[in-house]
Amino acid sequence: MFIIDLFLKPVFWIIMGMLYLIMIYSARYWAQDLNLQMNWWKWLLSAAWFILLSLSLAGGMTLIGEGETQAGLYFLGLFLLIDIILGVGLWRLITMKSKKKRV
Amino acid sequence: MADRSGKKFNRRDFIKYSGLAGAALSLGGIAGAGYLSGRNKATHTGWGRDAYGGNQYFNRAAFRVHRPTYQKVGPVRRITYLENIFNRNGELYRLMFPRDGSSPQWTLKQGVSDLPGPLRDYYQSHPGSLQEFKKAFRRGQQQKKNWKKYKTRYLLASAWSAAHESPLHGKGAFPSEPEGPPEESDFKGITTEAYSLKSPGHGSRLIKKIAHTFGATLVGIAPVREQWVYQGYLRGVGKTQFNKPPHWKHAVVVAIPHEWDSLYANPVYGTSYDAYSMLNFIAGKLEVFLKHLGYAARPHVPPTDYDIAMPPLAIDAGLGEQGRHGILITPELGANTRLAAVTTNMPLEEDHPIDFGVAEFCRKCKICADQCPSGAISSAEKPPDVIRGYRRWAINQDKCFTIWNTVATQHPRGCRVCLAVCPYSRKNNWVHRLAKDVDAYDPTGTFSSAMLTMQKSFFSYPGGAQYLPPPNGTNAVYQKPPQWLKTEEWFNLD
Repeated sequence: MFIIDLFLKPVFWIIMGMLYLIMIYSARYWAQDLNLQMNWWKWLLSAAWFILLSLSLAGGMTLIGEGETQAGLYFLGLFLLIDIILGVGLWRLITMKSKKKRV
Repeated sequence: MADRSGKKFNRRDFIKYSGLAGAALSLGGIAGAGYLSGRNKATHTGWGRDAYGGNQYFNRAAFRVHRPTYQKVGPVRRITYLENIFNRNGELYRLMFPRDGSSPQWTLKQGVSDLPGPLRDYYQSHPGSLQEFKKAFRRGQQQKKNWKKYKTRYLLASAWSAAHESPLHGKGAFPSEPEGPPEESDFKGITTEAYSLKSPGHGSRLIKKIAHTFGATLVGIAPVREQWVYQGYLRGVGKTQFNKPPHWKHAVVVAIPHEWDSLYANPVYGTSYDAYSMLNFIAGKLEVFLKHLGYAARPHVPPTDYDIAMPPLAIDAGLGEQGRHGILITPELGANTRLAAVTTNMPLEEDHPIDFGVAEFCRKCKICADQCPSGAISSAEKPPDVIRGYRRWAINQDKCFTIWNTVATQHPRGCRVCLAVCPYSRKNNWVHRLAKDVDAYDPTGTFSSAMLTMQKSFFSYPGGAQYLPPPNGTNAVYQKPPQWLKTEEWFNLD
């Protein structure tokens, strides 16, 4: 539809871009306030984890959108579980060194 | 600014919590975008239509091979007239119901030995085939009786199919049937001396562009090899032994998909005629176009107006590879690929065949074999049969046709469950395209194994017999029928 294609789709992605910018901008404040000793590869792993989480949600919802509800829910279940496990692992990795430094 | 506890809420906190909210909102946004991507009708394979070939997006150059992926293991021979199930069934029907109204020359009570020469020879060399025909015939009679029960439910689907079928037969059919030998009929209607092309490459690029504007999703150019030309019957001439006419130099092979929603609601809501009628128009227009440039042309179109077998021709044209179900699988359309061709003497640059890993994928997958209501598709690890010199997958045509005559349609209209359930036939949204593209570039096959595990664990399938009417099945369809094919959505049925 004309209005959706010309206006709403670009506006949606502009808003998404702004959300990502705010998120990235705020991340360093979170890291500082939580005393996380971040370096480049920790940031890289954190970004990769967030991208994986986003793709998991998008993938599952795509399957639901195309009418494969069961497949979509299984997909979400599996990949969100993987995301949670990886997230916990990543958090331990990030906080482990900072704890050491504090000691 | 201070909160209720008196703690200051400064700019830093504002940015931090805005970032947190932004993360949450972006996850919501990406989930919503995913959902809309799944619903998007532009991701129906081949139907995100771009008139100039944008739907033929796969980078074939990376997968070009010098030898096609069909495996030659012995002396090759051409496919004979009676090896086509429609031809031999037609012969039997003409014996059972002579056109001149005379008494039957053969009935179902009779056996193989009562058949005339070539038919007898065929059925003697194919044990069980005639029994399967008799079973199909009886199922067809039952199908006609059943239709009273199902007519209301499938009225729209049947009407839709009949509308698509209407331009295919009779005097008004387009393209018209060839009259006379190819040396005459293929040159009829040429309006000018043949214009000299700048190069065969120019010819190929032009004809592909034109075919796309006529509605073809995929176009490829192949040489016409003698071994793919049928033997024993030539349209315009009749039953005859013939050699490939010298002016059949190249074949312009065109492919389009079925309408998406009806394909997914196979067998009872789908039809083959939607794609067939479009292919007839595309190939017919290409014939006229070529003749207006001074070149000979003959369209080969579905359902049965072919002088050449289409799948190997399309493989030679680099459109795809043959799958376990015997159907061509293309990177863009999967098994939802229907074919036609136009043979011509126009100088054209031929395409190369491709190998994007279908053979290995089909070896592992077997979903079509599991879902086939007729059991016509082999579950073997490797193609068990050598067909006319080639080791390749081949379905049991007779068993397949019996199911055409069994499903709850008005008359034998096909099944197409194997097309719909093939993992390559999934939508062209980012999830499935990513899976298909990564698989094509993975030489180890690990990715396809992982994808197949998910495919078989996550997706649900009704199961072979369920596609049949009661008492054996439940008239199941692969996916829910679209609203526009459901009679009860539009008509008062009280």
